[in-house]
Amino acid sequence: MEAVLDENTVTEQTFSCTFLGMLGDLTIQFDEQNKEHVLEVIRKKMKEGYVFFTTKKYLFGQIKRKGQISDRDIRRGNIEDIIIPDEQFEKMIADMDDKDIAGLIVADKARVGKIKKGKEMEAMKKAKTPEEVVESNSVAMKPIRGG
Amino acid sequence: MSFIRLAEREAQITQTQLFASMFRDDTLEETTDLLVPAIVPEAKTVPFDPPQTGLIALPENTTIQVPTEGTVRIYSNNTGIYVVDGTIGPEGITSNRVWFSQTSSTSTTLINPGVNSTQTTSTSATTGNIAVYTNGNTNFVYYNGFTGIPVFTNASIVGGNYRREPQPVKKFVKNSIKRALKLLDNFGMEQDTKIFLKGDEVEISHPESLFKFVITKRKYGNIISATERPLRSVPFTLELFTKNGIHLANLCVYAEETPMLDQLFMVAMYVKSGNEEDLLRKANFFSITQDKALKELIVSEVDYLAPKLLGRSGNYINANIEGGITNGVLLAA
Repeated sequence: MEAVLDENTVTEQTFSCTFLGMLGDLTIQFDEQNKEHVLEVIRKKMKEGYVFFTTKKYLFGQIKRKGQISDRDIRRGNIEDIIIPDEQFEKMIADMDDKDIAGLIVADKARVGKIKKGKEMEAMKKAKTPEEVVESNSVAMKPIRGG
Repeated sequence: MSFIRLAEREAQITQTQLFASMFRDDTLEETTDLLVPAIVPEAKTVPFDPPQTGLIALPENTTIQVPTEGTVRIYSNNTGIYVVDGTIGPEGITSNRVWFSQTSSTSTTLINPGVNSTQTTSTSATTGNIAVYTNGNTNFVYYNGFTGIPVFTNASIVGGNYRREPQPVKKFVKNSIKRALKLLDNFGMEQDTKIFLKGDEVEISHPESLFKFVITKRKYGNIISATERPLRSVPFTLELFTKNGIHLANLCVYAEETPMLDQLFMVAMYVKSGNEEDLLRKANFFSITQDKALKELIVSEVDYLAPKLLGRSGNYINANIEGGITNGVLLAA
C-alpha cells in the first residue's frame, strides 16, 4: 500500500477535516462516495464533545494512494507528488492517536492531506450537525474544559 | 526507468519529511532550529537602576554587580534558585546555577559554590558579581546593607552573556510544534505567533464582541513540555479585557490533550469565528476585577457571565446601571 501526495488532482467534490491532536494537526480528505463512512465518525466525535468549525472554501491539499496517478505524471516530475513507502504508511497508522481517523484511512475511506495557506478564521462557522461537517472543509477541536 | 531532476528530487524529499512528521518519533534531537530562539532568548543588556533596598524582579540570566561590603539575599518565588547570604538551597535544584565572582586589586576570583555552601562578598574586593542563571522561573533578588546602610548605590543589573545549553527534544514533539506553527501560519496568525513566542501579549477579539482576549506566554512556561505532556489547565496566561483595555478576569480553559500552540489556535478559532461564548461559559474565572459596578454593567450586556462574575446566584440587579457613571465604558473603544 503506497500513498501519494498530489495537490493537483483535487476536485470540487472532495471534502476535508483537520483534527488537532498530540502529534499536531492531521487533515483527512474524502470524496462524495465515502461521505457516509466519515459521517459516522464525525457523529461519534460530536457525541464525545468535539467541536467542528467549517468553511465552504476549498483550500486543502490531498494525499492519495499510488495508482491514482499515472506513472506518466511521476515521470513528468510533478514536484508535489511523493510516494510513501508501505513501512512508513503503516507506522503512521499505528502511531495515530485517534484510532477512528486511522480506521478511515486504513479502509481507504479518507486520505491524509495537508492544509494550504490562506484561510481565515473569521470565515469559519461552528457546525451544528455532522451533515454540515461532511459537506464542507472543517477543523475539529477536542472538547474544551474549564481548568 | 524515469529520471527526475535534482531540484525536483529535493522538493520531493521536503514533502516526504512533512509527511514523516505525522509519526510519533521519540528520537531525541538537539534543539538547533527555530525553536531555540523562541525558548531561550538571547541575553541582552537590561538598563536597570535598582532601588537602595528591597525586592526586585530579576530577569532571567542576569548578572548583578554587588558591593564590596554587604550581604546579598536572592530569593525565588517558587522552584528557582534560593540564596540567602550566599547560601544555595534547597537541594535538588540542578537546572539553576548561581555563582559569585569578585575582583580585587590583584586578582579575580570565580567561585561556583556547591549546594548549601556559603559565600559572602569580601571586604577587600573592589567589585563583585553574582551571576544568576535560571531555568526561566521568575526569581527575585533581595539585598540590604551590611550595617543597615543602603548598598548597591552604584550597582546595576546587566544582561548576562550566558546561554543555556540546548536540551534534546523528542522528534515527535518538535514535529508537533512545527506543524502547529504551520497551522497558525496557514490561518494568518504568523505575526501573532511570533509575538506570543517572544513573550509579548497577543490580543484576539471579534469585531462584534465587547471583549478582547489577551494571551501571554508564561515566563516559566515550557513549550516543549507543554507539547509533550499537555496539562489539564491553560498553558499560557489568558486574560479577559473589555475592548478599551479594562481587565475583567483571568481565564482557565483548555482543549483536552492538545499541545500549547494548538491551544492558542483553539482560542483564536473560537473567538475569531464568533463563538467566544462557548469559551466563556466553560472557562474558570479567577483574579476577577473588584469593580462591582463594572461587573454589573458587563452582566447587563452579557447575561450568561452572571454566574462567573457575580457568583452562583447571578443576582446583580442594580438600578444605577443605566445612565450610571460606568455606562459606556465597554463601548468606549
